[in-house]
Amino acid sequence: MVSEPEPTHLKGQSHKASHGALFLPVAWRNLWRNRRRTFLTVAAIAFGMLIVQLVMSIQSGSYGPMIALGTRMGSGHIQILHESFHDEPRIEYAIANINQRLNELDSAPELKAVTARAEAFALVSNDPHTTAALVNGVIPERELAVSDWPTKVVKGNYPTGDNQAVIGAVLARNLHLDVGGEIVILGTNADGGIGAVVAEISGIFEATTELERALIQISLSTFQEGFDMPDEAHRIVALVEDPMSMDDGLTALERVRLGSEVLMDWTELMPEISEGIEIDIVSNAVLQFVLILIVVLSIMNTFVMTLFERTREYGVMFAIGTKRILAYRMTLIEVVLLWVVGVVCGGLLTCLLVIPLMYTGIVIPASEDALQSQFAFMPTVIYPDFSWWVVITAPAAIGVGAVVSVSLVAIRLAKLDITEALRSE
Amino acid sequence: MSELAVQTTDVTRIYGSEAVPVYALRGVSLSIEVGEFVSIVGPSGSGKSTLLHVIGGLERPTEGEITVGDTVLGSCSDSELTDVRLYKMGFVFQAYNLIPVLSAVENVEFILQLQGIGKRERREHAQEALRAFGLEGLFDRRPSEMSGGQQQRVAIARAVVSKPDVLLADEPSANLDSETTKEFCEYLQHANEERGVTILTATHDPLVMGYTKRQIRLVDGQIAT
Repeated sequence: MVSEPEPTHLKGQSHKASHGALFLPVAWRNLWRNRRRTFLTVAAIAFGMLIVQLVMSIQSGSYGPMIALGTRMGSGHIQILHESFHDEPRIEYAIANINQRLNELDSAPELKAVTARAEAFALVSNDPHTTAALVNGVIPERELAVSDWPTKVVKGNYPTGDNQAVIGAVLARNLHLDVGGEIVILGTNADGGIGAVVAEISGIFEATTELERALIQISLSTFQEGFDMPDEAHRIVALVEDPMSMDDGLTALERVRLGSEVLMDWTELMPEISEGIEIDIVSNAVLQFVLILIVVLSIMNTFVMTLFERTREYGVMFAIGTKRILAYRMTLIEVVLLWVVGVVCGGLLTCLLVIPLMYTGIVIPASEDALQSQFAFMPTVIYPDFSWWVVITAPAAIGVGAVVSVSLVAIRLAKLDITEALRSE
Repeated sequence: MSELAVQTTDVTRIYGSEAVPVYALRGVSLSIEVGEFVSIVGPSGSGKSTLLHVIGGLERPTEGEITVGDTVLGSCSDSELTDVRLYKMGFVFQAYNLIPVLSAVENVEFILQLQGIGKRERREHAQEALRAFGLEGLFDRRPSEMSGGQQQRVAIARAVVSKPDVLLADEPSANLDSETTKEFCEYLQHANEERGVTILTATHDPLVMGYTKRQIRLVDGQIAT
């Protein structure tokens, strides 16, 4: 038995041709069949995207300044120090040959700036007042390139010569000292003898209360002379261009590192910053995940309703020869179009809100002291950073979530009984 | 001997559970020759629609064999059945069942698109089909902008545009008044006589029966003798 010949224009044809030409307009028109629902879903995508991008841009814009603030308060990005000094900061755990190594590092292109510091706990006094303090020996002419200490001086000057000191405002008050006064520093030097320095107060700085109460800075040469540490210090401190990419800087410092010394980067030296950033990333990631989940569920709900409402239509499409994979593809085109509309709207909203904030900044209503001590060196003004990953992450996550959720919903299409679908209202 | 367009052999379709089976079809055997215009008649619940559905590959019989042209449906996978429906069958449903977001011409084109026909060719075929069923000037109308009769004519145009071996029409006049039914039946007759399409229609409308050359009566899922 032979059937009627297939029409010549149909012979050998199958679903190889692109169906996009018809499916695209069908999907687009389907999208607007229930305008209110589409608008609500688009709004969910747009506002979800706006919030996620705003939060991410603020995060992105705050971490750089947090790291810069924190590292410029002392640690720098990378340090060379005696292997025991970080855990047990004793004066005898010093590192030697400072001048030659600083000279070598000055010519290292991987480093932005480099300096050396020494430190000791000592008694500081202005008779009859005495208290304990952390004495820092610094190289004043190098310090401005590495830290913000010189800019913290609110009265007098940063020390420019030997036997000069800057002290914290609280310490100055406690010792009844002012600029021009004299301070006596007494401590123990490396061989157990007495280390002593007499210095003139050249400036008073303001920082966090803790530092204002306990820190005093003198020049490194004065420190070395007073504590009998010729050409020695406790840290070589370096800054690199990008604190998130320190490999080259570490290599440069490795070249001058001696046997008993270690290299440490800012994440080890100031773990409160990296931990603060990590906690912030995790807590915000949870918030963003929940937001994106809500948006994705909203899209999923739209398509659950869509498939429910169009059961009969799908039944007809299958009856006349539409393969289920094509119906799924059409549904997918529909969700992609919905996503595109939502992302365009969300992108516009984000641009309108975030771009102006990138220039004006967001002022955090708290004191610098509180932000630095309690919030891991949070800056007082945050400038959102609209980097590529901020732009991409939310739309990509919503897009992937939408496709996955709609694919789950579309399983119903694969199981749809054609005759039952044709009978549905 | 004439060629057979459709042959069913001992087709049984049971719904419900094993414990409480409901027989929609009981051992239905029939042969439809190429070019015939046949109506399946009978009271509601007699199995007319079920018979059309199993012949159209929309559902599988519980027992028995169906051959459409040279294709044995029982040996086809679901995907092959979809291809059989696409290339060998045309469907006209009771409720028109056009895709609401597509215009008349796009509805007809849809099936050609599924067959992978190029844009220009399918547009020509679709317009030609619509013209043949008196729908000149309504190409761009959406279903909601057409009367029931016009929608049903678009449905026939869609069903015949791909030149199927068999056109299956399930209660096609159920939503039409007698005048429109008559007009519609004339178009079916036109498709049968002019285009040579084998037509099998389930109906309990005497007007439709009058246009068919043979009636097969179903009672309780069996062919009445």
